[in-house]
Amino acid sequence: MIMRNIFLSTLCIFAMSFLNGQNGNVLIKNGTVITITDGVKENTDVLITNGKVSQIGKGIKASANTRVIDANNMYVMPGIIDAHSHIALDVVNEATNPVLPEIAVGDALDPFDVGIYQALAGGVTISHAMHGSANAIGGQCETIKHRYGTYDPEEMRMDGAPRTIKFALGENPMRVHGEGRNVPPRSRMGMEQEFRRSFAAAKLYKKAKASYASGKTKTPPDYNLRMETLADILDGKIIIHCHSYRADEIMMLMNVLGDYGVNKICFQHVNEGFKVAPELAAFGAHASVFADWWAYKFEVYYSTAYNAAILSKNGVVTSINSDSGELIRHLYHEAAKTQRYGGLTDNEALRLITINPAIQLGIDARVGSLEVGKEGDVAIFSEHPLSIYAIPQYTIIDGNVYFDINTDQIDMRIDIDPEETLPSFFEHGDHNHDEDGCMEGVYEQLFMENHK
Amino acid sequence: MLKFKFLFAFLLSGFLVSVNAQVDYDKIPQVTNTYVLENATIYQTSDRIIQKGSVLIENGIIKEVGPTVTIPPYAEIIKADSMYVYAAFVDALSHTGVPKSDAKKERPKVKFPGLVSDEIAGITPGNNVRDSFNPKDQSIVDLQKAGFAVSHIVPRGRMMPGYGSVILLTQDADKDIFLKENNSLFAQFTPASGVSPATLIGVIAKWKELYKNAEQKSGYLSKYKTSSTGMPRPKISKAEEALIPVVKNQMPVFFVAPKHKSIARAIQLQKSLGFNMVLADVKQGFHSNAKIKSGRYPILLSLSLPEDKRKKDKKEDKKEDKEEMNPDSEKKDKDEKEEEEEEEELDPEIEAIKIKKEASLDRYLGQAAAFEKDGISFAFALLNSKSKDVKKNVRTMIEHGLSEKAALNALTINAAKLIGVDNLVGTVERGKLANVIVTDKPYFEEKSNIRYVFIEGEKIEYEKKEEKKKKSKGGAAVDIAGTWDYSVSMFGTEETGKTVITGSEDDLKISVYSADEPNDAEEAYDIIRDGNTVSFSLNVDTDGGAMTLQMSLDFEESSYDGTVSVGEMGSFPMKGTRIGDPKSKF
Repeated sequence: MIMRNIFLSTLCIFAMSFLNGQNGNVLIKNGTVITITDGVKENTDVLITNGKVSQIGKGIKASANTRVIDANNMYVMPGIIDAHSHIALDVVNEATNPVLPEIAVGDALDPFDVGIYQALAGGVTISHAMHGSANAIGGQCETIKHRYGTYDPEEMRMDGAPRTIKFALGENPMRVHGEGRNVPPRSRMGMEQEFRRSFAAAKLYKKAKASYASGKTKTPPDYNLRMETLADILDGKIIIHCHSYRADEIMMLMNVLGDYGVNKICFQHVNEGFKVAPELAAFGAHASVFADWWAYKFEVYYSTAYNAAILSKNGVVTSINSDSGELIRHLYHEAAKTQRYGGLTDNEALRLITINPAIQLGIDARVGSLEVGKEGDVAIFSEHPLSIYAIPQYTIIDGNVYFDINTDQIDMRIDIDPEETLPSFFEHGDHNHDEDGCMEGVYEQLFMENHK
Repeated sequence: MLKFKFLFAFLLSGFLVSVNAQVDYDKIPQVTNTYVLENATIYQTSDRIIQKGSVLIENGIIKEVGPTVTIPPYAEIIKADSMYVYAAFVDALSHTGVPKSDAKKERPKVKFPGLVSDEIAGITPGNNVRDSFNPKDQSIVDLQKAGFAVSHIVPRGRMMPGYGSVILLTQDADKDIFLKENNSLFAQFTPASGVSPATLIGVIAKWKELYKNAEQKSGYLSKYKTSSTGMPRPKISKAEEALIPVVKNQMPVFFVAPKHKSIARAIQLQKSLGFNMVLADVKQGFHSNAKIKSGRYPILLSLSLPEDKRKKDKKEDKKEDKEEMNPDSEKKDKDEKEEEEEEEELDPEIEAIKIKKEASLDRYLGQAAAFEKDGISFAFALLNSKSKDVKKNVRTMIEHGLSEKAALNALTINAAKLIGVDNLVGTVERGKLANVIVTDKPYFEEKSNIRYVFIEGEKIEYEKKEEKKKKSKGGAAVDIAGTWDYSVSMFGTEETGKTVITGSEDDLKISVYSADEPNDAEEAYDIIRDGNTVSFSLNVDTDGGAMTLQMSLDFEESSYDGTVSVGEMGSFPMKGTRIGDPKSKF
């Protein structure tokens, strides 16, 4: 009994410090390397030095302080990127106003979420931690690297990634604000006016600031974080990621953005995207979709599993996302579905979960493919990642191994409440698919408001 | 019907207390305001100790401290041989004297939850704690009892409740109890209820916006002061103006950040805005040592700790061992053994979780020690903690590696420094306020009692807590049948009578006779005997109506003692001796 305790506590200590000693140097030997941007290379080595890919080729020798992974008979691909998720967040929705660009989920990062490790176990190295879809505008999202094991929320951020913000169309914001509180927007017409009113106000704010800066006026406008953020959207400093389903409202938002000269937009879910694929391509809008998930509310009935393929073939930069702590563990399966529904090639399918989401997040110069100079984010599989038999073996971020199937533990939590009665992972397990993950926390706020 | 006079006495005395509180001419002046604590061990500071020395207190000030002091003829001498003198404790942050507001207060109906007044949003940085302070609040007496003389109090509320002030913990209405006013801004990550900011991210966004506006306002106001010509008059914003001392770094923000993530978030916010910050109510700072050190954030450690169930288990194990030795409990043994065997077959996953939980618990209990080891200085604060747990919890921290020296500093001078009153309090030194406590054993020993607390020279004396006699559980069972007298002391009056117990262990009958009505018995019910402890309930008639008393009595061969609980009024000591066998009459 005592021996077992000692054994177990050693394991715990190991689990808690599993990054110790890693220095961003790793050599992956003899794998089948799927580069995404430069073909597939058999029996090839990938060397990562100080967190960056430094060499791809055959017979690479490693220096002494480099960990060597034998990837013989394995498949080496860039770390998977999820353009839509809500893991690692303590707060998903602030649903008190239809326009809330000033708030940011990056202020509520949760490095202890064991969902991060579960994503790593599915080969996912980067996810886009998004605000929910309760509001027409806002809040801001955060692109995170899954550096699980750190205690510092700041270390979760992917430093230098462009700012992104959540927009939402259709039923969710209408339900929360219109039906829930009887305030605008109550209809899809009202939704459009939320955007127009906000952008118009932001233009005036910008004008007032410019006029103070040039000395024309003596009083500065009150500092308004909402207007500051909207002004940054107008100036193209923030990429919009818009929750959307119906083709008509997708067209509506493109019209509004066109009127204000904004073009950095990725539509999320976009189930009816296949109806307006050429228009999306012409606008330069991106699309991040589910492989085959729909009919969980009225506006999501008109859908097809061919969506990703149709969008891709029309030249829309398309990705497949999870929006779920469960789907995120097998995005490579989700990508494979596009081969059954749409006949995409291996490379086209894998682009949906690597370089394309990277483009949508504005980080494609750094990650999303295996190229010399890019960041050392790698997923290694036992079989080809689009095979149903593929099992993730290693997941590497910045040249550090964060998931190794050989040392995988049952309980990977890193923060344990000494007074908890049940391990917290029991609470996280139950993600039901009746509703998209974007409405987390909204009903509590509605409830509180009506009863207090 | 049995009547309990003391309940009436209770009502009466309660009445008198409230009269006393209102009419000051009934106040009894102290005989003297000069005291000498003679021949005590004096902890002037945690490392300056006078082995046998005296303290002269006069007019609320420590006049002299040393091996010998001049004793004025009018001084009251307190023989403190074998006693210990410390600076009275300083509570660096709490809501002492600030009662919870009426929770049922109706909020005006909100049409747009995103557009609410600062008041409803919980943004009231300008609120002065004086406005919600009640000098008669029980918490003040409780803190005195725990050895505290000074408290840094802050208003209750949500994200920015208001300004804090430092008070002297006295109920003397003649004194100006505010040592320092508006010396801090109190802040927490507490969202509003169902309106903006309804979440943590809403709170942080509000902070950022409000802070920038306060900076802008501050700049505009100073510009306007020098040349107002042609400048529009400044707009009024209570919240922004209240934040101006903060943005000018003239007032620190006491930010509540108990757990690791809230600490990280508070630090991030502080870094992005640049205000002076004290991290308050810290419970889990052990992952942030490096950040705390490099940012030089002052730390207020919480005085509450997670419950350590291992200690309890140990005690219960001991109890069980004893019972096992008792031949009477052999029957029980079998069942227990079977249970134990079942426990052996625990799921290894659950076992692993248990080990992790214990490791985590140890880090919480060792938090103070870890800070000390890392050279991070800290003070204690009572916010969200109970004053009666102070010694118990500090002792637990000491068991987990905290030095007594650091513990004493955290309770006294460190706290005083953090709230800017170290020139007045925090050590037993000449010229400081006469805030001292006197204990009968070194304070950190388990069985020490605080015997005196001086608050600016005002003496409060405490009775020595009677050591509980060791329960004779497991020893030979006492035959409690017989006639016993009883006496209950309550609010200075004594209620007496007799108790007749008949029957055997499983079927006891207890009749209680008040001395006033010796022929009128009240029968006890719900009688439970556990070892030599007997508990039962009794219905009595008072002038105010029927009440239920609950007795719990430990019996020995010829005497018993225990308590009687009277509903919500509390419990009172009850004791008695055997005066005869059941057949004897009064």
